[in-house]
Amino acid sequence: MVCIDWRPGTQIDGPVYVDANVLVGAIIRNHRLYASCASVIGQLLVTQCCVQVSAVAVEECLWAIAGHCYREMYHHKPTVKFTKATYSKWRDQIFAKYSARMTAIGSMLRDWARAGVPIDVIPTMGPEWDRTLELLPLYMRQCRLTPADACHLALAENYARTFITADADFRTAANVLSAPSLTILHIT
Amino acid sequence: MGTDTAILERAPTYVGSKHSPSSTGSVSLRFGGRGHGDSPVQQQIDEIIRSSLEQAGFPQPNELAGEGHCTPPKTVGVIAVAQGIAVRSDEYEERYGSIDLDDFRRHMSPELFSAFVRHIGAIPGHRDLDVTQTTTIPYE
Repeated sequence: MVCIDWRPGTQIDGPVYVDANVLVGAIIRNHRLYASCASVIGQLLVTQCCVQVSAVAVEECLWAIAGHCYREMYHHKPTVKFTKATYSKWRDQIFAKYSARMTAIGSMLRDWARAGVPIDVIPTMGPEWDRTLELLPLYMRQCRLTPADACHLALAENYARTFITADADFRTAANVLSAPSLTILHIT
Repeated sequence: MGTDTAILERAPTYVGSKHSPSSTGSVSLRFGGRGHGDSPVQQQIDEIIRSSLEQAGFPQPNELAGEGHCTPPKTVGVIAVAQGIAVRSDEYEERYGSIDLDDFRRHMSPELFSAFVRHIGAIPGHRDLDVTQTTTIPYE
């Protein structure tokens, strides 16, 4: 498993598993990684790489956007924690004010598919899923990843050739693991 | 419509933008009367355009609503990014200013390009936003 920093023009081999932070990073603007996230997405669309999207990634995107809306609504800094208790308390207000934003991820993925981008939703039943399940606890322990991050990595390894992420924790994981078929493309 | 006609015309360049119309598809909307005083028809047209733009998120200056006098043409900073997608000039800079849109336009079909630009940067953010941290679902 190798980890390289993405630069404009970096070759990307498909299928590509896209982490939630890259999807959100391309939809929300003004932050440090926005241009890179949007450009790497543009590169994926141009090259017509098969894009792998998981339910875990979509869930994390929705969580991120809800938290972002909450912080904006109450003028909190981006570093203010958005907990499950906060979400439960302010959910109705978030949807009342920002319902369009909460559909942004779904709308984006649907528009890509309609425009001809090959998108796969994973996991699907089969040997890849069996191997994913076997790797999950291994990655949690060996790479010290959270269950969600271990899930991203195991899915990427079994369904894709490239894993695009902005999370530096996967750089550490790449040093520990020896899966030769997966390239981690780090957005920095 | 007689001599009172709403004018919708392509501006030669967009003031304040480094992009040329050919590279960005920039357009500005100018509307106003040619005669002395606006006719009820023209006022209706102006109001329809104003309310449509405002509903689409492009606030209109109040002075556009003339009160019986000849309204000089005003320029509204709207940039057409792709077919059916127009944004204010400040939003254009934030969303597309740091991205090589021309290159993507050259390599994408019009439908794909629209699907791309419609969504990137659609939500305003903050420079301190950490996308890794914000996508992490807490266990509490």
